[in-house]
Amino acid sequence: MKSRELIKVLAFSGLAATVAACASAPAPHSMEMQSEAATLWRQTCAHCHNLRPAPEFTAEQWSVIVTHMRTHGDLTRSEALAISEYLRSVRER
Amino acid sequence: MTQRIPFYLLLAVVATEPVTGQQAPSAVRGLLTGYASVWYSAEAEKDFHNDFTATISPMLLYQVGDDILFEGEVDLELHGDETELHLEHAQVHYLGLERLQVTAGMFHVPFGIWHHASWINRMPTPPLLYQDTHGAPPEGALLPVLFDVGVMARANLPRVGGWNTSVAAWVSQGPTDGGGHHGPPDPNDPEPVVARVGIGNNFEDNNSDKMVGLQLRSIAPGGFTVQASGFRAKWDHHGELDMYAANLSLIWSPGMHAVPLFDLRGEGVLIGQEYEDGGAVETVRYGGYYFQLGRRLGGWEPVLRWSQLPQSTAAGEVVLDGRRQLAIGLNYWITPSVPLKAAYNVELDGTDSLYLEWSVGF
Repeated sequence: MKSRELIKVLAFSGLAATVAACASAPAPHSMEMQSEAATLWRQTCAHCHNLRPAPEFTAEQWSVIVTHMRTHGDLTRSEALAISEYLRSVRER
Repeated sequence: MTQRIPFYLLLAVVATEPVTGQQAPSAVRGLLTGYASVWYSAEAEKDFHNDFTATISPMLLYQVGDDILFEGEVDLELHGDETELHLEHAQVHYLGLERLQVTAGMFHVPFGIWHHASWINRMPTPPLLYQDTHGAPPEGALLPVLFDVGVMARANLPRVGGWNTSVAAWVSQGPTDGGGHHGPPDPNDPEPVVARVGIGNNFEDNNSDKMVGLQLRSIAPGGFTVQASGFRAKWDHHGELDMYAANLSLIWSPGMHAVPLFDLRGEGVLIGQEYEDGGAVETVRYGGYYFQLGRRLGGWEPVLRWSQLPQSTAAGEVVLDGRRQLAIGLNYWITPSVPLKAAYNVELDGTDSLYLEWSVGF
């Protein structure tokens, strides 16, 4: 690949990243948001593997696991935080 | 030019506004997780070669606040009376931006969809495209499951019509001739016309060129995923011969249930590799594909997979042996992360094999 093509690839990646980073989602405080987080958790995790039961890990452990899975599951930062918050609420029920 | 690539990635990060107002209190959280397997394999031939083995792959996750995560994983595998130790990955992620992730270190190259964690895979053996050989040239397979050292950025684009789309770009050490073998050439094993290329086991890069790759992935609301990825690099010591690879992957796995009711996936890979033949630079192309279908029936999961690597030749020499394989598997899920897996691999061009595996994800 020539340098010019390489620059195009990187420029496209940088542009896509910059444009994408302009949007954000709210934190999950309402019941509706909790429901959305639960759906997102199921959709994202069960897309690749069986869903691990919520009681299997503590809220702190889930927080680390969800952060880890953000890097695999194409989650935004807000979505990952929403799922962590949802799992924390499930653990506290 | 290639030496400046990390600078451009860094520039992309700096140019992206961090999320504000959602910073959680800084805390350090560690977690030891991973997976382990016990294996039995037997070849259906006269001397009935068969083996037991065991592996454990502990993974350390170490999170600082909400924004920095370190991941490290090693594989410990029993081979005869020796234990082999491999670093599987060691990477740090910066996750402080809403839609951009930056990863540096040794990471799973985003090329293809085959996952190396044994409790996640629905078959005890990888398809012919892949062989988890820690970067060495795979025997009878096309590629190792790719890990390499470098920098990667992934951007999540805003969802459109429920489609979740991401773009990843990476720069890493890249392939090397001889699969990273060091030392004098073996006179009993003369150099082939087209050298076998290894990726991910040569952390002293063999030339000044770097692998540059790009992946585009889109997941539809119904669990249908389409993913295209590709990379190019110079693979020889002189940094003159090109190698490029393209991968198209499809997955259909509805994720609305605690267990996916079915999982249909397929991948195709095409690789082009330049080589010198009598002073002229030629290109050989080789590749392969597979399709796999798994269906959950309670705790049971029958799985079928068809893999094929068409034979490829260059300068009258076979570069890649043709192989066709039908794998027939049956899993029993004791818990969501503990499967018992059995598979019989029918080799249409070789010897059939039986595999049994007991995996645990922890």
